[in-house]
Amino acid sequence: MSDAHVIVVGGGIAGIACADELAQAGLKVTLIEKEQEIGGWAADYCCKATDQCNRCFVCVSDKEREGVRATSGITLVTGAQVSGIEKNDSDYAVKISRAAGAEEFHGDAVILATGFTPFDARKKGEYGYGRYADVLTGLDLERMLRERGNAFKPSNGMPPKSVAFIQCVGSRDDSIGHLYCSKACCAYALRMARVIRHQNPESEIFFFYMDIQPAGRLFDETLKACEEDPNFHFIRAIPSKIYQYTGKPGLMMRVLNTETGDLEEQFFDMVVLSIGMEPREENAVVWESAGLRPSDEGFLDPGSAEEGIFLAGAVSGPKDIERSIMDARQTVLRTLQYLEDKS
Amino acid sequence: MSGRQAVLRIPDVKPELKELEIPREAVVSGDHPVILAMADGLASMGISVTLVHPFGEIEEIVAPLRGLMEADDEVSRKYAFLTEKVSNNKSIKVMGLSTLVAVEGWWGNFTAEILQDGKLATVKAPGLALAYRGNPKVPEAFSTDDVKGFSEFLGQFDFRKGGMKKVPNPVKRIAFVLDVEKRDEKWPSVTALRFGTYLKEFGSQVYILCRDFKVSVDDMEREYRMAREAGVMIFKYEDLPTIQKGGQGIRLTFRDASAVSREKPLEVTLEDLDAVVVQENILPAEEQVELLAQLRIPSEGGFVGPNNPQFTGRTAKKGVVVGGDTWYPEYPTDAMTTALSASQELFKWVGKGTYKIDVERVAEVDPSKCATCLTCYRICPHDSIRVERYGERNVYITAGAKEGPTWEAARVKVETCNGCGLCASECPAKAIQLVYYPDMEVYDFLEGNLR
Ligand SMILES: Cc1cc2nc3c(=O)[nH]c(=O)nc-3n(C[C@H](O)[C@H](O)[C@H](O)COP(=O)(O)OP(=O)(O)OC[C@H]3O[C@@H](n4cnc5c(N)ncnc54)[C@H](O)[C@@H]3O)c2cc1C
Ligand code: SF4
Ligand code: SF4
Ligand code: SF4
Ligand code: SF4
Repeated sequence: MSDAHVIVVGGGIAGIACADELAQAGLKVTLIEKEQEIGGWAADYCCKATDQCNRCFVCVSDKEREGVRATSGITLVTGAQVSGIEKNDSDYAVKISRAAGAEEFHGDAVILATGFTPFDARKKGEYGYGRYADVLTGLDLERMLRERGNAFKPSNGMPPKSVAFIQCVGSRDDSIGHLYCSKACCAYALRMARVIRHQNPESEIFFFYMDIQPAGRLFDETLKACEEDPNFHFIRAIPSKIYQYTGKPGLMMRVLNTETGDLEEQFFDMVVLSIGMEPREENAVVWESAGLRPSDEGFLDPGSAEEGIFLAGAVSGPKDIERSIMDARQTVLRTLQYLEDKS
Repeated sequence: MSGRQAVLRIPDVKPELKELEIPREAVVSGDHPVILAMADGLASMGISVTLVHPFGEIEEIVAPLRGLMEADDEVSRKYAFLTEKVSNNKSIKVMGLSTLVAVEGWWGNFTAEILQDGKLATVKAPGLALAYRGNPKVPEAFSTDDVKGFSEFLGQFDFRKGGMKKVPNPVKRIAFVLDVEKRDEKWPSVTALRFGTYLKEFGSQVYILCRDFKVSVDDMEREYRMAREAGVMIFKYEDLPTIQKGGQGIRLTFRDASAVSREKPLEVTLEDLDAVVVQENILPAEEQVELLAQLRIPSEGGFVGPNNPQFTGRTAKKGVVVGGDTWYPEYPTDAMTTALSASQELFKWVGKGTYKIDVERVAEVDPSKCATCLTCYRICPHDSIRVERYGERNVYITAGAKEGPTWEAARVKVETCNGCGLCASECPAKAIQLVYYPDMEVYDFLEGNLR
């Protein structure tokens, strides 16, 4: 088995974790990534530590990425988009297209770790994403904090005083056919909100949500810290619309006053849309070539994969980084078992 | 030099790291159903497994899941054949009616003392997996005779005898109360929804009371919607419901937090309930607390932790992985993922059959620079830093020694440090450096221990 060769498609955290585990087990691994750099979405995220680590797992992903670059036994192929998989007996041909032309890689098993697409907030036109400068997505805020270190209003570069987080944007929403929870956005939003509070003691957070989803052990600590913060307000309702009055700064929303039960107009400096995940539709041809079918949630059903083809990470449904790594390790165990049985 | 240990520092010389042979073996111990998956996963990779469990029959390991297996096909699919697979696998030595009473050693060489039939057996293995079931305890606010915990409730039916179809008096009106004290566990939401939907098929009226419904489990959002459409009533509360005897059964009163107004709150009263099932607090198994202490794995409240981001299932001690409630209480299908992921981790340690110190460099604190700010202590993902008393520069006083301290400073436990360097980059006093294994005694110990 140890001379077996496994092809991992997708160099996000799930693919990286797979490649790492396989190489450590002594196998030959080829990791194919469409972009010029491996890392996937998580490579854009920020550290969410306040005066202490808040267990967001981003550094774990960073460290894994660095580790895999240095591991011998892993061949990295970047800038190469996989366009199909062909199975001939126990040989798997993975077809890629890149700038230099089409190519084929052959392996004894394939792991698909092609991940997800962040929900395009423009599809929820009522929130004015793209129209109002100070309406950001969670991904924008991740990048802002990672690259610039602090949160500021894109319109004027000033730190925001009142920040609203709107949860479940593009998730748990039947109107767009997304009857699933994206699983990572409550946690990333709460943690980034804490970072904003930590950086600017005068800031106020308004957190609009349906149900808070915990992420990992000790999440109660994070939740408690938010609830005990007098400047942190939880409102169990999702606002329907963001608008602006001409000539006036700030973003307006109609918000439920939880004391009186009345709807009131409230003003915010900045609004963060906690976007979730969608399947990567552009890979439909790849899925078809591997015999993969969508699950009830619209992501890929691992049970539908052909023998010798495995899934890891968010490709089979939304997962946070921790869960993606666990799924990757579970998948590697299955792959190794498959190769062991075959040999 | 009693009570003292000299630390020999060789900062920039890379020691020669030898590769030594170790047997491809592991001990899996516990009473959580996932031990079957762990044993099976490892054995299928050619690892010889000793499976230590307390029951007379191997089937009893999955007994706590029988109720759920009836209501949830996936649980059933994932766990049903495991007992058979494990019993038929020649690489798994099953030790029933057994307890792992003591364990010591290091990755590459653990010694486990197992009590079976009043006799002590010693098993040596390079790797160890622990997965225990916690002790469910109904929270104080609900500890009355009328209330049952999930495990007691699910355990009362013998589902092998035809499930609900054969229960003479199915519950008519049942309420599940979730999130009573712990809010970051997802298993109660999933269990209540799947089991509630199942009961609904037999005509029960089902209520679920929670603070937040946990839909962040595969398929839950869809099932949540379907259950509500089927008539399962789900309420959100902020203040704990009050419980009384009332009408023909139990009465629960609470304020529905999804109602629009606090001034005119929507008081909800559920009367004539014939069952109230409450989320228990899962307390750590005694054996688990004892073993973690023996292995000197840092624990908080008896569970593995309180590490910062650390790979799931891994502990601060190399060669020891955990699953089941020893890691964290999870729904059985999630617990399976955790357990398999932990098995893969263990396979990495013992699968190759060779042993080599895998960390080249570890952190070292210069006590004369340390300001004892505890930054490193808080940030270390492997819980490898403690504040200790130092005698003089680079000489620390081991615990219990009488010599008086000259100062306190952070100290890295080289045995568990993973060399990630986080502490070094965060230390405001720049007191931490990464050095090649500084403590030759530790290195000698690691190596010597294998022979
Ligand atoms: C805004 C936002 C913030 C988040 N913050 C956090 C957080 O703080 N903590 C946390 O734990 N989780 C967070 N998450 C979740 C996290 O993003 C996912 O858990 C993680 O990225 C999943 O990794 P993956 O490898 O499965 O997918 P991806 O990151 O999507 O990686 C897939 C990789 O495959 C490549 N690929 C795709 N198709 C092809 C092809 N055909 N050929 C070749 N390569 C291909 C892609 O280029 C990409 O590199 C967040 C999610 C969002 C949306
Ligand atoms: S887990 Fe997140 S918050 Fe903690 S140190 Fe890593 S990146 Fe920062
Ligand atoms: S994790 Fe939270 S914000 Fe994201 S979809 Fe689920 S409930 Fe909504
Ligand atoms: S971070 Fe530096 S100064 Fe602070 S306790 Fe650790 S070693 Fe000492
Ligand atoms: S190097 Fe990493 S593992 Fe070692 S003590 Fe520092 S933070 Fe902990």
